[in-house]
Amino acid sequence: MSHSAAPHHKTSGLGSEAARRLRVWVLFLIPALLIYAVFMAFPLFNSMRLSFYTGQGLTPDHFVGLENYRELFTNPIWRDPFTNAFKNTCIFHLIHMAVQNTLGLLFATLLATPFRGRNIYRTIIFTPATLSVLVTGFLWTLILNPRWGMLNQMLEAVGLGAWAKPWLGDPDLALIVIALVSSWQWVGLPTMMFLAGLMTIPDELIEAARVDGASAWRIFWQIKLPLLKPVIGIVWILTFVGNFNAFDVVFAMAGTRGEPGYAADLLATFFYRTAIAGEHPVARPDMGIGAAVATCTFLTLLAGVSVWLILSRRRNGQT
Amino acid sequence: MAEVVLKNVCKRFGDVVAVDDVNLTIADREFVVIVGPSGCGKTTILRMVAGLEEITGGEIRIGDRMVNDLAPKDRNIAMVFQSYALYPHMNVFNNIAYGLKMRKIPKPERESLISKAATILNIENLMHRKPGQLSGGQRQRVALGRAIVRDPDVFLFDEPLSNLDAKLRLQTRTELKKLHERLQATAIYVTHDQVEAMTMGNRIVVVNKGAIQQVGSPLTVYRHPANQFVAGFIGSPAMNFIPCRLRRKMDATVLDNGDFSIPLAPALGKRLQATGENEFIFGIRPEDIMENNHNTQLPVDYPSFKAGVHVIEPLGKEISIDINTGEHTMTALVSSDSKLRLNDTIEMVLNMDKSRIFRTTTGETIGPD
Amino acid sequence: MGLKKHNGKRPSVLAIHLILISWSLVVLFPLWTMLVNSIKPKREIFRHPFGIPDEITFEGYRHAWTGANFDIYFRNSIFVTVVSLLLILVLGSLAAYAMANWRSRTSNLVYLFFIAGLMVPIRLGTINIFQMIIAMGLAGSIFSLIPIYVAMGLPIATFVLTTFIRELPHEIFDAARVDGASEWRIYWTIILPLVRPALATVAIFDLIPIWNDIWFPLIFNLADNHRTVAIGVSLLFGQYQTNWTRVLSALSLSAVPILILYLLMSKQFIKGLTAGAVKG
Repeated sequence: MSHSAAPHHKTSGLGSEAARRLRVWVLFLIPALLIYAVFMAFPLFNSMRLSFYTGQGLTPDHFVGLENYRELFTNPIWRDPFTNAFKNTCIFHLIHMAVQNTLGLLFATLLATPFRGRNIYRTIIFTPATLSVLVTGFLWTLILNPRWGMLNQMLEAVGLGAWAKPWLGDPDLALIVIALVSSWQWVGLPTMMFLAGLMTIPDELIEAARVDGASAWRIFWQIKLPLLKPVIGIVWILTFVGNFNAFDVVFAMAGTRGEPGYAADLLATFFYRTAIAGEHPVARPDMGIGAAVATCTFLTLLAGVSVWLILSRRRNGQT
Repeated sequence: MAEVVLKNVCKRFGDVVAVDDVNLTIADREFVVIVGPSGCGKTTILRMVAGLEEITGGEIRIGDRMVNDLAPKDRNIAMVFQSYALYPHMNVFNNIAYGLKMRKIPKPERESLISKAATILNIENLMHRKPGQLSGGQRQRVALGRAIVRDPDVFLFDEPLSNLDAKLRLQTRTELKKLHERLQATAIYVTHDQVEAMTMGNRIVVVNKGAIQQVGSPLTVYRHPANQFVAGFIGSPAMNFIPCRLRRKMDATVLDNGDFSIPLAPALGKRLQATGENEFIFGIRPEDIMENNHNTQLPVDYPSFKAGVHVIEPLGKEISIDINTGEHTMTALVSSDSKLRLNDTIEMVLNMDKSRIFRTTTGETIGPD
Repeated sequence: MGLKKHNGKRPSVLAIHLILISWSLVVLFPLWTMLVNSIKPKREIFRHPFGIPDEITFEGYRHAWTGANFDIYFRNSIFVTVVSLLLILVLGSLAAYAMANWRSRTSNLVYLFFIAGLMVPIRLGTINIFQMIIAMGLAGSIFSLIPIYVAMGLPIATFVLTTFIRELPHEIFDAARVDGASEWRIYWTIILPLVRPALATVAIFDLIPIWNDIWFPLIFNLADNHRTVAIGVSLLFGQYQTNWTRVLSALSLSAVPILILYLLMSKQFIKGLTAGAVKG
C-alpha cells in the first residue's frame, strides 16, 4: 500500500477536500448558468430597463423616466391599440378557459374510466399539440376560407348553407374563431394533466363514496373536482402564461395586425409591431415603447403567477 | 493493513452537533462495531472515515497518513452500503470491476482478481446479471465482492445486513466473520442492532447523541456498562431500571424503591453517600431476577419480594414475564418449565452480584464495583 | 354477478365512445384534409375536397422541396434542433447533477433562478436579445438561434433532471466515490446512463417549441439559406395562397416528421410534453 505521506501532517488544511468538491460543482454549473443568464435572464431585465429610455433605431439611449409609460397609457396612438390588444388577450384567455380546459376536464374524466380503445383516443386528442401552431393556423385558415373553404362547403352539403360565414373576415367572429382553433390544438395538454391528476385519486375513495350511495355526478363534483384543485391551478397558470404570450396563431390566421381591423390583435402581436416591425402610423419601430409593452406583459404574468402561488400555498396550509 | 485513529473528531451541521469529540483507536486487523440508536451519529463517523463527509474538527489517520484532506478515492478504503448501492445499469462483473478500472488495474489482473473474489463469495454464476435480477442476499454478496476485490486497508460496513430477512441475516453474520478472519483487514462495522454488535465485534463502540459512551469487548460492555444508556441499550430484553432513594436502615445503608429495600455493602453505601445525592437508579437484567425457590443458590440476604405476574411472553427456551411489585413493573426471565399463570403472585429474588447502580444526575455507573 | 352490472354499464360506455369519437373526427378531419388534398390537382380540391384523389400528383411536394428550398430549410431546422437539444441535455444534466449534490443556500438560489424561467417567456426579453445578436454579428445567421433555444430549454431541463437525480439513491454516488471515480467520471459512467428516461422527457419537451418556433427566425430576419422550415412555410403560404396543392404540401411536409415521431412514441411524447405540470 502507498504510505507515502509524511507521518506528521498539519491540521491546517481542514476542508480542502470540501473546497475541491465545491470547485467541481461550480464548474458543472457555470456553462448552463452562463447561457441562461446571458440569453434569458439578463435580456429580460435589460429590456425592462430600456422601457425608461427612448431613441431612434436599435438602442434607445435617451433616459426619459416613465415617459414611455405615459405615452402608452395616455396618447391615443398607443393607448387605443394597447387597451384593445389587452382586452382581446383577456377574451382569448377566457375562451381557452371555457373551451379548452373544460373540454380537457371532460375528456380526462371519460378517459379515466377503464375501457378498451382509450389509448387510441388519447393519442388522437393529443395529436394537434405536436403540430406547429403555424401549420395549424394556416390549415384552419384554408378550411375556414369563405369561398373555397371546406367548412362552408360541408355546411352547404348538409343543408346548413345559411350558417356559412366569412369566419375570419368578420370582426365579431375572428378572435373567437382563432381562440377556438388554438383550443383545438392545445386541448390535449389539460386532458393529460387532468388525467394524471385523476389517476392519483385512490380507487378506494371512489368506491367508498359509491358504497355510501353517491351518484357518479355527485362523486365528480364533491370528490374528484376538489381533489383536482392543485392540477386545476397548474392548468390555469400554464394557460394564462401561454395566452398572454401567444403570437403564432394570430400571426398565421390574422397577420401581425390581427385583421380584420385589429379585431384579433393580441399583446404579443402589438408588441411585435411596436418594437420590431413598426406600428401604424409611426411605421418605425419604437423600442422604448415596445419595452414598456413587454414590461406590462411581464407584470401581468407576475400578477397571475403570484395569485397562483398564494392560492396554492393557502391550500397547502389548510390541508 | 492499517490502524485507524480518530482524534477529537467533531462534525457539526450548522448549529447541530452530530459528532462530538470522538477519540478512538482501531488496531490493525481489528473488527470494531459501532452501535447506537438511529440518529446517534454512528453512520456520520463511518462516513467521515470514508471521506464522504468532511470533518469539522479533529483528525483522522489511516495507517500513518492523516487523511482529513484526502478524497475517498485516495484513502484506500472500501465500503459496503446499507442499500448495497450497486450500479443498476451494470452487470455484476462490471459492478465489481468498476473500482479496479478507476484505479487503472490492467485487464488481465482485473479479471483474475474478480474471479477470485467471485469464488470466495460463491457468485460466479451471477456475473452477467443486473442488480435488478438479484435477490437481497445475492446483492449483498456482490456489494461485498466489490469491496474485497479492491484489497483495501480498511473495510467500512454501514448496516450491511439491515435489508436482509432474519434468517439470512444470521447466516451472513457468521460468513462475514469468517471472511474477516480470512482477509485480515481492519474493519469498522456500523449497526443499530445490539445483538449483531455483540456477536460480531472484537470490540464494541457504543455511541449515543454523537458521543462515545463506552468502548470494550462485548462481554465487558454487557457486564460492566459504563452508564445507564449502555446498560439499557445492550441486552435484550432490556435491563430494568428502578428509581430508588438512599436511606439508612438500622446500621446499614439501603436503596428504598417504595416497595422493598435493597441492602448495600458498607463500602458501596459510603460511596453513594459521598456523592451527596440521595436518588439513584438501580439496574438489574431480566435474567438476574429469579424465582425464589430452592434451586436458587443466592445468599439469603439478597433482596426478595412478592410480585404479581402481569404479562407472560414465551420466547422459546425461556419465558419473559412482566411482574408488578406495586410501584414498579419489571421484566424477568424464567425457565420455560415454569408453571406460572397470569395474575399469580410469586416470590422473586434479585441477583445482587449482577446488579448495577447509576447516578440519576449523570447516568454514570457508580456501583457495585 | 355479471348481468346487472352489464346492463348498467352499457349505455355509459356507449356515451363515452360517442363523445370521444365526435371529437376524434374534429381532430382528424383537418389533418385528413391537409394530407389528402396535398396530392390532388388544384381543380379536384374544389370539386370534392374530402374524397380520395382520382388523380395523384406530387407537384406540390416537388415544388416545395426544390423550388421553395425546403431541402435547405429542413437541413437548417434539423441542425438547429439537434445542436440545441444536445447542448440543453449536456449542460442541463451537468448543472442538475451539481445542484442535486451540492446542498447549500447558494445552490438553492441557483436552482430557483433556473426554475423561475419556467414561468417567464423568453420572448419578453426579445428587444435586448435582438440587440445582442446584432452586436455579436450573428444577425441573419442560423447560429443566432442556438444560444437562445438553449437558454429557453434550460429551465425545464434543470427542473426535470434535478428532481430525477435527487430521487436516485444517493449511496450509488458515494459508492462510486469510494471506488475511486472523480465527479466527472461519475457523471459520465453513472449519471448519464441512469437519467436516460429523464433526458428523453426533456428532449421531447424542448423539441416541439424549437422545431416549430417562428418568433425568433421572424425577428432575426434570417438570410435565405439560413431559414428554418417554419419560416419557409410562412413565406410559401404568403406567396401561393391560392395554389392549395403547393400550400398543403408544404404544411404536410413540415408537420409529418414530428407526426411520425409522435405516432411511434406517443407515450413518451405525452409524458414529455406534460412534464412541466405533473410535478409542478
